[in-house]
Amino acid sequence: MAKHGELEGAVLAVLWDTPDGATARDVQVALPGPELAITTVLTVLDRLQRKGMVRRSREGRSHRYFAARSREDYLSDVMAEALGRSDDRAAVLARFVGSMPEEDTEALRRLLRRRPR
Amino acid sequence: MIAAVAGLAALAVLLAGPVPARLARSAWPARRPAAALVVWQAIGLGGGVSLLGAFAALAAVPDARWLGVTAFAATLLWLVAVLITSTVRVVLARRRHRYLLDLLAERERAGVTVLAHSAPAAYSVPGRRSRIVVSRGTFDRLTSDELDAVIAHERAHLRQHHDLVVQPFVAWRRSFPFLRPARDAARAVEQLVECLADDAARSQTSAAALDGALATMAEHGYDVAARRRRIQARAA
Repeated sequence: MAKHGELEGAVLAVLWDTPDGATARDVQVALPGPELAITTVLTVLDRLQRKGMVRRSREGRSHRYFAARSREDYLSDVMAEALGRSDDRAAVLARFVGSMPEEDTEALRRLLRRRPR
Repeated sequence: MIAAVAGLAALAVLLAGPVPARLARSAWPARRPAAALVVWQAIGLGGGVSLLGAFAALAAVPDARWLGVTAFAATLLWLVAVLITSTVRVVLARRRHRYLLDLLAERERAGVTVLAHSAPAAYSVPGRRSRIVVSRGTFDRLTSDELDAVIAHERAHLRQHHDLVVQPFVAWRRSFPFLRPARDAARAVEQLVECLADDAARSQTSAAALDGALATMAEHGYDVAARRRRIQARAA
């Protein structure tokens, strides 16, 4: 399980760095570490596509793959969940300082608007 | 049997209204958070059981048999369904959050996931594959003692399974959002588990470190005044 997750992360990282998209072969070459079988890369891409993390377009006889959303978009999602105010969130995450004060969505927006890093 | 119905119904009403309202206003729970949590759980369980008991007793009254049976079954189903759907929703949201964390984590050190974002966030994701998450913004703002206090606080949440304590109350609030006591209870329980985690962090690190971390978070709009007063009072 963890291994699959790590691979998905590594493949997605490659796609995040290639905004113009990449073929499975490009991904295979760009992945760090020992080269994986192309079928493994295709399996991971397929899994990411089913999760909605990756889009693809046909290019000749193969496909070109794109990250559906940027790294920053996902990071904003995660941070919004971490900081945001919602009844459910209180049960989902255990925060050090609770959620943002009530009605203070402006403060939340301000925090999230800052550039990551 | 009519007396039993009336008695149990009265008990259910008491436990759903005046009793939690009174407890939510009292001051002792902040001093004895573990005991107060048990009282809240007893109120919740007692309220549910006495309501079901009233309907069961009603079912024993010959003229009201079907009314009692129907009310009993409907209430029990409703309570169980709410708890299950709320739990499923929470588990799925956690799973997705954890999945994204694993994709985005800048690095992971000693079981702490670091997120590359400048906003100050520190939290844990409970569950079987739990995570403690600290944003780079928190890292940059806190001293290492303060950071240790924050992590000790989060570890206490995970170790003491506070998510399981809070979960039924959150489900109860969701099923009766119009009931003030349901909101009071969930809020009180959420505050009490923070007290417990603060006490653990304080004893494992120091009151000064924990208070310093809270003071820094307060600069970013979080309301932590009550928690800081409590820590300072207990440290004195």
